[in-house]
Amino acid sequence: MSKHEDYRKEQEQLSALMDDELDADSARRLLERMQSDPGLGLTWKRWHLTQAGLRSEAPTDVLDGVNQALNAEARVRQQRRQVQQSRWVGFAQGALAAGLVVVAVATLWTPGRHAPGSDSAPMEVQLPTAEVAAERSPQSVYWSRHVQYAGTGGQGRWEETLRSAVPDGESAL
Amino acid sequence: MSSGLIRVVLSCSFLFWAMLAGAEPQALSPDTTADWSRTLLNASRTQEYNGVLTVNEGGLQVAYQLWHTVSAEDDTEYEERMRVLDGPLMELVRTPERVTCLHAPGTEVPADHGVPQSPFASLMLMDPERLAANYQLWALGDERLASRAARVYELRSQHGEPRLVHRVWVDAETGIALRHRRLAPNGDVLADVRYVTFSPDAADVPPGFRTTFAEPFWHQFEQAEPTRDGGADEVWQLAPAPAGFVRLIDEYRNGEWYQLWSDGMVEFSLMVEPVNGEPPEPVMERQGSTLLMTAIHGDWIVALVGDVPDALARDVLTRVQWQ
Repeated sequence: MSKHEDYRKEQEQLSALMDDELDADSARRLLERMQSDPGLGLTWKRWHLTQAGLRSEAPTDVLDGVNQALNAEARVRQQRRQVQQSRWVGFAQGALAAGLVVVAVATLWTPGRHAPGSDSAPMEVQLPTAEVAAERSPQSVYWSRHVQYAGTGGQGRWEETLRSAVPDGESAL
Repeated sequence: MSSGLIRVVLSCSFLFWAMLAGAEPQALSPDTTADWSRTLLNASRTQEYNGVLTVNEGGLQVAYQLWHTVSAEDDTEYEERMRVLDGPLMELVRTPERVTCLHAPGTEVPADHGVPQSPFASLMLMDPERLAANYQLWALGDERLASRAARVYELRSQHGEPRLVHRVWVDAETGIALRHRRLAPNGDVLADVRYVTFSPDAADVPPGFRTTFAEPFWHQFEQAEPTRDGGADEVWQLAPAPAGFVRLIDEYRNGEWYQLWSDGMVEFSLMVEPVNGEPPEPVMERQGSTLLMTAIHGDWIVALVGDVPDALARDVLTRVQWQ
């Protein structure tokens, strides 16, 4: 079995232990490994934090982040449903559909959140006017996602990623 | 391709390349471009070598010591170790299966994402066929680099839209990349990775390599599981896509769209998410050859991150549409 497969199996066992579905012998061996493997221990702690957050036991900022993500997803799904509905109605119900489409479009164009883009009125796009000096800010999320998926990422950036992830009270040197 | 075969191919073509030395830049055919990139990719994986290399990118300058060893039974099984020489004590170990960061004796951290697969990360991304379709390979001549005979090449986009230029120095004996410069369309050097010493063997991997580390810390990278070519849920579209770019990843998660595009040589990420609260100002920042630019589309933020020039990023951001 390769190291990668070992790692996967370990994660599966951790997950089973979280759900109280791991047999006693395997659970004992896993807990022993946690004593000697700080990586495994930290994963265990992080998963517990996540679970605590779902049970509303986590710090407020963690819950805020989860709620924001859920709200954003709900908003987007609602908009997508509206767009799909307007298309279907247009094909299926002929002349009557015209009125419904108007309603659907009106729904999409409610004040506060505009439906993005349309054939008749292209959305105005605001672009940056000049390069700005970046401090660690919301932009770092975009860098992280790019590095996570793309292969380039910048050779030096892995060090930056690691340094930013150093737990409090610990140091690289 | 075995390392022996690579050396034979390189030796047989030596006369041809020698004729180019000192001559005017020569444009090479698409077939040659595809073969060139395949050979380069294989050589760096299937041969043993070691050396010291420096990375200059985005104001960051770091030196590394690198050993690349190959299994005696199977030359596709390799292990690459990279130790930081003038920064925090860290070491990377790369195998075909995974990348691991070592920070202390016995401390291993899986790092499947967030760490480039090679010091020459951009070259490792190469897709030979797509590269040959989108880029013209030029042979610029011969130079010496790290006390080695090297051939110099340049990859220039075949499309009218602005792209980065890639200049690559290739070891004449082994076919391994010794240096990679990424240049802006105006010639500015954005990133430069190069060996300062290079030896085509890995016999002197130091024993007790991991014992050089001080107090340990570690970090486990999150595993990302992108959905490739999801398609069905997509609502945001890049239309038309920049010439030669194809979409590799298309996923929707937590209210955000993520897409990864590639032209066989470089990649860029495209992210779309709703604005929460007051719309932020659009931003543009560059770290070496990699650019981040955002645009505001009504109540949405569109962000691009990748190795593209400013002008291409602007074009892409204005072409993103709700379909």
